[in-house]
Amino acid sequence: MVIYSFKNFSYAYYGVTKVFENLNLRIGSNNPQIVAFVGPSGSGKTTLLSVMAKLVEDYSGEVLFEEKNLKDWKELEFRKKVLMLLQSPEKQLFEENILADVLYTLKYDNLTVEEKMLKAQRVLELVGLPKDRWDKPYYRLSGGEARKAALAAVLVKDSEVLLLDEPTSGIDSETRQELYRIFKNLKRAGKSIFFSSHDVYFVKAVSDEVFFVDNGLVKPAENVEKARYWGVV
Amino acid sequence: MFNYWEADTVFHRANPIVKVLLTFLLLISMFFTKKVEVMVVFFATFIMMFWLADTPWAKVKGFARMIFWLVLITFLLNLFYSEEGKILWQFWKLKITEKGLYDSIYFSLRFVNLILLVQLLLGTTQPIDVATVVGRVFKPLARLFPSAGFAEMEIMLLLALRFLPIFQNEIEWLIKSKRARGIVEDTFTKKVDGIVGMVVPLLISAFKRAEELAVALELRGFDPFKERTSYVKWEFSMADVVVILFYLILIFAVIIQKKMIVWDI
Repeated sequence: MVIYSFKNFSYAYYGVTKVFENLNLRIGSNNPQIVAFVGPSGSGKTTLLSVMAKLVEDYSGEVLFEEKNLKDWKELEFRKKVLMLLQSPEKQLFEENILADVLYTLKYDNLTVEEKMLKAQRVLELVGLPKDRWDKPYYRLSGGEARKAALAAVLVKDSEVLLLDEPTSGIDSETRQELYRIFKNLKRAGKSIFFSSHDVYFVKAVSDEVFFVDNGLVKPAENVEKARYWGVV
Repeated sequence: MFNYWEADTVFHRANPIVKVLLTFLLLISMFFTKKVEVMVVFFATFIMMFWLADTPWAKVKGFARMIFWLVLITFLLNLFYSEEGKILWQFWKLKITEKGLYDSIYFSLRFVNLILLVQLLLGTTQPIDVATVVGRVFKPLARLFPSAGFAEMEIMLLLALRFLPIFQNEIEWLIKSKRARGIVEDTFTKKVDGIVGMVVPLLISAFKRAEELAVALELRGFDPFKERTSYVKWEFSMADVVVILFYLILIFAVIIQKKMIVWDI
């Protein structure tokens, strides 16, 4: 069961610029689901995901995850369930090379070195990063490769929920197809994915549910492509 | 720490040149006295100045706590150092003398005053203004010794001050990113380990940023030796008179105490 409920949720950047006001919303379902957030830049998609990942907590109102207030969740328990991919890979990767970086996520896990290594290699193969890139630091990779590496660094840890902030930005069509495959596999493996994107076609193809985020509102969208004509996305 | 706060007070309005130069003068004059009394006068005046400068006390709390520990160390180090004067308390080889007590109070107060003085300047003056003043002060030197690097100093100082909040932001992002990846640092050793682990990425990003910045400056045709203009005009105003009075009183306190001026009527 992965359900987020927002109750009278309000948020303002630095306590001044209002993004959301009195938002009441229920996202998610009992089954694994792929949910997309679309909307113009600055509409609050990243904020919404950060709140859902318990990284931003200076909001007013209540956000419940699995019927329990987010603020009441213990850090350790919550991080076992929910992980997030940040918008830019350079903010998420910081070890000397990609493999070490993926292993860094498993740093405090009770696994042997071999098990950790195996997991890391498997996940790097899953995201489709060529083997000769594994020993390179992230700033030597192209934008798309760095994004894949960042995704691997998150995926290596098993979690029920994945929050991905713009996983489709700056990648080519081939990688986009791979991403589609990864999304579907993850869903089949029982994970719920919430992601934000500007890529309407990708959103349309992959997601079970789409939400528009604009003008402080988050509302379900029936027709994604229509949104394109409105100029929302 | 040493953050600027937005407000509309006499200290904010005053001319940055006046503030920087007076701060410098006061810094030097503070080393000319060895009297606790003068330091108390300084401290009281500083608190009054902070009050007039609309200090956001809630934000200063963490800063004050940090200073407290440093002051305590300064105090304790000086307390047992002196051998002179009447012995007040003795235990084995440790002893506190009258002079030791006096000196430790003096040194701790001076330490606090130095920090307060710098905080008052940086809290009421934008970093960019401080850097500009320093650049202007060094301008004649830059003309005299073109290869000594005085011309670059202004931009260097400006960038250093400008990038402090950016690095603060970067550290926050690194912490956030670790949490986003499910790395929970719940014990003391893990926390220390996590801080050590952040040093390398911070350095890398600093170098990357420096490189990008150098390229950007180059592309905009930056030349430290060219005459720079500014859209801000600093004029002398009543605010400056008030600020000068405050600082001059303190400088006079030192002069009078030192008996540099003998009143002879």
